[in-house]
Amino acid sequence: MNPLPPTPPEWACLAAAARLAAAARDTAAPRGFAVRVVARALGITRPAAASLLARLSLRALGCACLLALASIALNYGAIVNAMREDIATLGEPVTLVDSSDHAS
Amino acid sequence: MPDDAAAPYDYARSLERVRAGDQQTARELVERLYPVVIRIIRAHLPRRVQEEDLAQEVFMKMFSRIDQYQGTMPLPHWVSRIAVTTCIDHLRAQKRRPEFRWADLSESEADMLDRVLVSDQAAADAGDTLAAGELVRKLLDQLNPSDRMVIQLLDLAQKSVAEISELTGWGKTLIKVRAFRARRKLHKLFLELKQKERS
Repeated sequence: MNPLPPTPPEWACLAAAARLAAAARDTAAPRGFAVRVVARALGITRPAAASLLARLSLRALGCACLLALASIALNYGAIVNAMREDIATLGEPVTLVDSSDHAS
Repeated sequence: MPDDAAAPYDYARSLERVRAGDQQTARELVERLYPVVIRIIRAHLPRRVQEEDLAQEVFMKMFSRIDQYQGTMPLPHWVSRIAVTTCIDHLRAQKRRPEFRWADLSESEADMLDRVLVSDQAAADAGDTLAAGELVRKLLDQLNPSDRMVIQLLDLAQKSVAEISELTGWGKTLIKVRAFRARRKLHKLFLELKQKERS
């Protein structure tokens, strides 16, 4: 396997000095960082998925109600006519019986 | 403070608890993994991005993907990989790389550059190491994100090619090609800086 290319001496010198600075820096999590991250990750994201489902089902229910009202409004005439016909046909058996009596 | 070198920590058990929604264990896990993540972020922090914001993004990704973790590699390595890819994504999002000029350096950075241009290690170590860190960042800004990642891991984090391969998922040959390209570019930059200093 090919060896790694040589490091420029100036870069090696600078990198070594920078390593000293990096080693001196504190790497502990800032106060409250873990609490904030966990609250966002576990406390909000998971219920958010459940509330999304709830929101979608409520929206679907609303859409269904609107569609039902719209279809009633659009077909109002036909519905009224059908109801009138139904009411009218309530008396028909009597009429039919009468007409058959006349025929006989 | 949690540290990887300290007593062995049972990551498998912690993960089980976190998956079950145990917030206390999740907080412990964040605090334990924070030093690993912040070292990577500090080394690859793009301009105009706060290190804490980036650390938070890494941990949010960790929690959102925690069910995908199969345990094929140690958890700190898996999280390190998330940190590395997050940093590369942010570096790639930077549209323009600022030019490296003597005039833009602070007094302590220019002093440090003078010291390293004569390759005087003792003088460089005795100088302002924070300025050295800032100079390194400005020089790394001149490289493309992938080359920058390789050279940083190789020369600053002092990782081996095998370790870089594990962290990034890149092949060893690709890593060497990127290291070669980065070092050549750095060499050219130092030559230019020397010429400009003389002129």
